[in-house]
Amino acid sequence: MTYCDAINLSLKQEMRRDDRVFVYGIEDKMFGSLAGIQEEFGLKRCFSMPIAEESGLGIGLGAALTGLRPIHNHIRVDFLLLAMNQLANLVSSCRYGSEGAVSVPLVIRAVIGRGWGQGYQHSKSLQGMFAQIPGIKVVMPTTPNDAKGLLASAIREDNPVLILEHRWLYWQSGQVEYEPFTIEIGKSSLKRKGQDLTVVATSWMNVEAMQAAEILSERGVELEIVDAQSVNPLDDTQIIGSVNKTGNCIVADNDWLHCGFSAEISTRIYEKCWSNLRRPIIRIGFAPIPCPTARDLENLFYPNAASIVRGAEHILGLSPTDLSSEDFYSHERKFLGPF
Amino acid sequence: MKTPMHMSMGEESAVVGVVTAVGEIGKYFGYYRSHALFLAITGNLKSFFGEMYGKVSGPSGGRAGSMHIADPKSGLMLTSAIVSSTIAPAVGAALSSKYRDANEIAVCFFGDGAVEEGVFWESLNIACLLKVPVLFVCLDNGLAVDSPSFKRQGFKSISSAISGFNLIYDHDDSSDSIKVYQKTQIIIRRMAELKLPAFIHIEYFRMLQHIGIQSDFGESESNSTETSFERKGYRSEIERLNWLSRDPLLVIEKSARDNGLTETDIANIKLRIDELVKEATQDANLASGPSLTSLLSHLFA
Repeated sequence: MTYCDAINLSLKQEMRRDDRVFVYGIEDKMFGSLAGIQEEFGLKRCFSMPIAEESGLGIGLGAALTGLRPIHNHIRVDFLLLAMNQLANLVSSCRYGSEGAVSVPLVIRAVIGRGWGQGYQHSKSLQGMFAQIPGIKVVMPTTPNDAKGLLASAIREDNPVLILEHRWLYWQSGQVEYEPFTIEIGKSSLKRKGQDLTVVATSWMNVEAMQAAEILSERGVELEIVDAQSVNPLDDTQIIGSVNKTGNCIVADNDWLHCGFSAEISTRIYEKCWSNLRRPIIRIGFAPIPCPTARDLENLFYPNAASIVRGAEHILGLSPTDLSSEDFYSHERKFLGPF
Repeated sequence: MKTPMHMSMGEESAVVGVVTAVGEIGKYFGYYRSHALFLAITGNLKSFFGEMYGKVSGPSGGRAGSMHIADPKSGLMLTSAIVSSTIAPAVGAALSSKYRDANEIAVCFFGDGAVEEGVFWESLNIACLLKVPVLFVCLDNGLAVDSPSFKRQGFKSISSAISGFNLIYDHDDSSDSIKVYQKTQIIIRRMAELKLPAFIHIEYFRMLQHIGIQSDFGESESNSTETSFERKGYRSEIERLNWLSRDPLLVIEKSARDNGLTETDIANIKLRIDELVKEATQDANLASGPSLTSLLSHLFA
């Protein structure tokens, strides 16, 4: 099933399992992931709200403090920014500030990433920024199965969890475990085994890394792809183990580089893999500008498989691969899976 | 007490009147001026001073301090230093009450300045649209630190500004806790009948400066002040004298006498209060501070 349908199924299963779970947001479609939910559970448990992001999130906090388990949707993470006061000043400090007297079982889903030419207010990711605030968990599911499991975990967590879902992952089909299951928040996920170079990727960059891996495999170079998946908390055991094994690393983050999550991962690798790293890490991410609308510039803003291939060639001292006949993903050529 | 404190002198009748009327069915939300609110809900002086002193005996072990004091198990869910920020959570608690079919009312206390924030209007709109059981209590002292209402409000009055919303409205400036109590009782009944939110606009007199224990009358000590908190002399003596006769403590004393309490009774009550406060502060002094190894605990459940 698709990423979108996997989320939909997970929502339904969790809402059937627990009466206290409800889902709301400014609109009630969330790119198709809410299909059939209002019909099955009614307007009490699935509803749309006036255009009011901050109070929307504050309402989620109040409901979470008084026995419910809300899921607050945002069709773009850029819009979630209007609710930062509630998230950064209240939600994140509730449990700590009360010395554990309360917990906030709130899930926030926000869509990140590209549409087509939507520009600088529909293009942010910001996982580094959200993850920097103590008290909020942040996850980024890549495959449909990841999306289903992580959503279930987030709903069952008694803590605030922000789930960043990439728009371009929504059409992706893949194998999904039907019965309810959870994926431990905090762990990374090995997406591809290889021995020559580790790519630590987030979200959509895992798809780009896969394409890069296929290209390089033809030359006998095998990438190992570790999906960081959990931005906060992050148990880096798997990442460290991988880089210790391969000795080479690219961090491909779906975000800006400066002060971003890629800096956190890289620092941990430098700290823990120092003697095994053969070359400095290459970090790949958005261009350090607001995202432009014009397609030709937009294509330069976002890195893709080619960036990862070039990075690997640089680290491994390989001659450049001819990419002229490669077809890269775009709004017109969507990634349909399976991963 | 190593935490900035916004004192409740002057607002006692407003807070006590509302809290006594709503009682245990209330889920209370406040802002940074919440001492009266905490004491009205919990009556727990030892716990209060424990939190002010940053000791383990406080409801949050000293982590919250004055500006974020809370006691969720008693019903004081959340307070916050950021103006207007607990209004939306209060609406959430009201939504939750309706969702669970519980007999609970969310009560949100905020100052007149909070009416200027966008999230106030968002929350008002949603509460009235969804018809949730929330009681908005606007504690209006006519000031945001040192700035009077006419410098901040582009509308005639708070009542006229909210008059278009589907809610029950009332107003009080009596400084009389019994009057506030009676009004609130009526409001709660109407909220249940009409299934609408309510808004009580209570005007009161902030006795002291915005923060701390000084008065803001008279001259400032220094010629230039760094913060608006330190300014003095921006309220008139006439204004002050007008309100002094309506000091909530004087008003309740008069009510007590009118209802048959003797001077001795009243004197004994005051003595008892002094005793309790003294005990509580001694307790707080002796209580231990949080263990240093607890620094990282309780971040996540």
